[in-house]
Amino acid sequence: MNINLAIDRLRELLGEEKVLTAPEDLYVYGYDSSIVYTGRPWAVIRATSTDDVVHVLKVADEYSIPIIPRGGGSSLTGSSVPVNGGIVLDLRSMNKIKVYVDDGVVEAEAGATVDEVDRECRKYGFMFPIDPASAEVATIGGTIANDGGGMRGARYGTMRHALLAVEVVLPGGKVLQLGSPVYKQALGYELAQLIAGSEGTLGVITRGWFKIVPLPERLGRILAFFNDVEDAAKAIFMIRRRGLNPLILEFLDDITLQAVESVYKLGLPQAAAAVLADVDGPHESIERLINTFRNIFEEFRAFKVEVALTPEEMNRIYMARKAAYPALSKLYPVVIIGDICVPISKLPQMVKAIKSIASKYDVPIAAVGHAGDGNLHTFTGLNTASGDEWDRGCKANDEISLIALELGGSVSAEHGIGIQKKYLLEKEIKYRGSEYALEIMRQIKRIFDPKGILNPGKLFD
Amino acid sequence: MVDPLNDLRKYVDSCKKCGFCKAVCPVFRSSGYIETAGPRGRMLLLQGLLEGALKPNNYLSRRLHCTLCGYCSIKCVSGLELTEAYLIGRHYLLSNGVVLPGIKDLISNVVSLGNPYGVGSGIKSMWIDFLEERPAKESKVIYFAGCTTAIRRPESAVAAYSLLKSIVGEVAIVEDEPCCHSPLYLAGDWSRFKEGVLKVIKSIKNAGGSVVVTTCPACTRSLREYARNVGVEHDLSVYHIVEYLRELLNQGRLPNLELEATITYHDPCELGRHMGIVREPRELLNRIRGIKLVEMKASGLESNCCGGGGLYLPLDPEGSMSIAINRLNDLPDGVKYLVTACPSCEVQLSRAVQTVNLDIEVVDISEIVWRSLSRSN
Repeated sequence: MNINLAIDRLRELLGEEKVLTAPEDLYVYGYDSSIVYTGRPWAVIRATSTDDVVHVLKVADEYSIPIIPRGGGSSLTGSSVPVNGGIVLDLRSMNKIKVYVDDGVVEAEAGATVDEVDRECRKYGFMFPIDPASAEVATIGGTIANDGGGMRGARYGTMRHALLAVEVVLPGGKVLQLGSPVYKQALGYELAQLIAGSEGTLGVITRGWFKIVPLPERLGRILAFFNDVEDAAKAIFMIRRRGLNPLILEFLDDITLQAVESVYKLGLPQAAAAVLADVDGPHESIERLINTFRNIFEEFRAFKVEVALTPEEMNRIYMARKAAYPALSKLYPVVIIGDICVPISKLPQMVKAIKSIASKYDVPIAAVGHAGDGNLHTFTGLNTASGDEWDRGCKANDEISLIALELGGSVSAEHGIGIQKKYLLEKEIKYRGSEYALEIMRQIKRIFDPKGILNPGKLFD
Repeated sequence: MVDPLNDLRKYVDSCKKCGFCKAVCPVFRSSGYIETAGPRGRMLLLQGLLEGALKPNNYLSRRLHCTLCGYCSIKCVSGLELTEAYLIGRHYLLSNGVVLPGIKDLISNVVSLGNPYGVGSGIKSMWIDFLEERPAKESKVIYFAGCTTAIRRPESAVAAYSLLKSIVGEVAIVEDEPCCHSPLYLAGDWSRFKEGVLKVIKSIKNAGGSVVVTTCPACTRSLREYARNVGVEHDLSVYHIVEYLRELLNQGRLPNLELEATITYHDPCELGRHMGIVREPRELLNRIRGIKLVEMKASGLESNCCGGGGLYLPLDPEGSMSIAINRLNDLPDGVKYLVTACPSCEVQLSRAVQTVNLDIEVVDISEIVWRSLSRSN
């Protein structure tokens, strides 16, 4: 491997301005949104087209140079950190978007942010179904690679559920379009779905085609407060059991509510938990739906229920949820973000277990998240990312993941595996008695990337 | 004075690296989305300096420079005032002998010629010739035009002075008005800023001033905020003209105003996000009979930047103009005037309007109020 020769070659092919090698740029591109992972790339390439990516993957293959694809750099698990050096391939400038209104499809280049795609869809009366909290930063490529989700996951699932087709570039520069931009396709092994969640280890994602959904005719929002976590959790799965299909269904625990109130003074009551739901549909149906939700919340002893039907009111009560991460971030210098998923019926047990683990390790842990699909995010607040406090926080986080497994859930819902959860992925697979699945994954990796140059050190070793 | 590196630590340690700040950064966008040119990148550069992993140099300094619009702070989940961290970084770099060529010229102009544009004092005071009568040399109320208003938008200076005089009566200007020295503060040259701002305060006091009214938010901040940051205390009451007129409005001292026009208002970053003056200009504009104020698509604390602040313009004129042109995408339909309250924004947006050939006039708020006063009387 001669990195200098490779970089010179890339400068010739792409032009000087697309190749960054200054120590300052290399330092900055060594980070993403994960807390502790860092590396130092040998160069950064800013691709502006699939052709650029092809050039990079040809040279990388020739010189056996690791390639770390990067979109918004918003991974929470270290997916885009160049732990073994190599070239960071920054795709953020590839951000063209085209909406096919008649087909209900959007095509987007990998570097467009999810928010940019959503805004483009809204111009035509549609929305992008997947809405990660980091939508303004997270790119389409990164969100496919991590199979990201969001609040609307309660109805629309994660990125793989919206993905129809994907363009990837393989080592050596081969360009493949996997899948077709249509709603039904039966083409043997579903390779587009294989790319979702592959975290840049199989190919560099350069564009995707997705289902889009019509904007709701009208929205209503309801926020209920409970004195007992179990009541809140029961209300959530009763909503599901009664066949209701809210656009979002969110859970907030007492620590979260206290944090939001202490920072933002919204006038939230003291409560053990709160549930926030958005309902949508034809104009005349909203009040009936809101009443159905209200009845369920009251059935499970909600002591306060707030309803919002205008955009202003909706924004006001949405603050309780929107402000959760900022409030916790303001209170604690370091926050470990967990990402588990459990069967919806197990939510009460999971929340109870989180409380007991927080007490065992003597660290504050807030639980908040997309309870409509069983996905809870835990926020472990710490003063430092080192020493005993950090160790306790990490242990608490691991134990929460293992409880999720025991409850029939998963250690990873929508934030990907990256570096942080490699051992948890292995643990989950072993827990299911399916060790050979890991071997299948390794073999698949070898087929796509025989030299192992694509995002090494991620997903599994 | 702060110990630059120690003072940086609290910002760097609290940054969650979430990157939410990038989404709204005009420099990140105009750079073609280079991570190092965005707010998270700037915070990482500062972290690198703190760790000793990076050394002060021109490249780092160039990457650290932005328009200081402060939108990143609005998005910061940790609630950090990121522009304060960038300024400490600039101060640290300058203290280590790193000054970018464009900034060096600007500092030299302020120090040797009394303005950042490198023009003689005759040109800076030329706006006075357009007044109906010579202004008083002494008064309790001083109109402080500032370099950008006086040199680049003299018509705004004429309007602001005439307006103040017609309402308040006696208003003076400082003879050979010095630069407020905010460019030195923003360049990180805090010791020469301190010397400079002390001279400004002295010149205002020599003219009998106790109330200072400016048309430039940078001048307001220089006297009100930056002076205090470098340990200079004074008893001057410093107002931006929007605040002052709003106070006169509250006191019932504003005469009838009338102007038939559909207008929109651009919030200058320094006035809106940095000083929190968002309501006042709107109250003032809505007081003019016949005015229909239509908001821009992004306004108030979430207004987009014009690209003219933070000493960014001399470093990247092209990028700066692309930011201004991008701001025009927020214009509502059918407006005749794009009103603002900062001469730098006015200059930037006027150039952008010319570049894309839009039929809209960019004016300072004092001009609009002056025109509505002249017409109604």
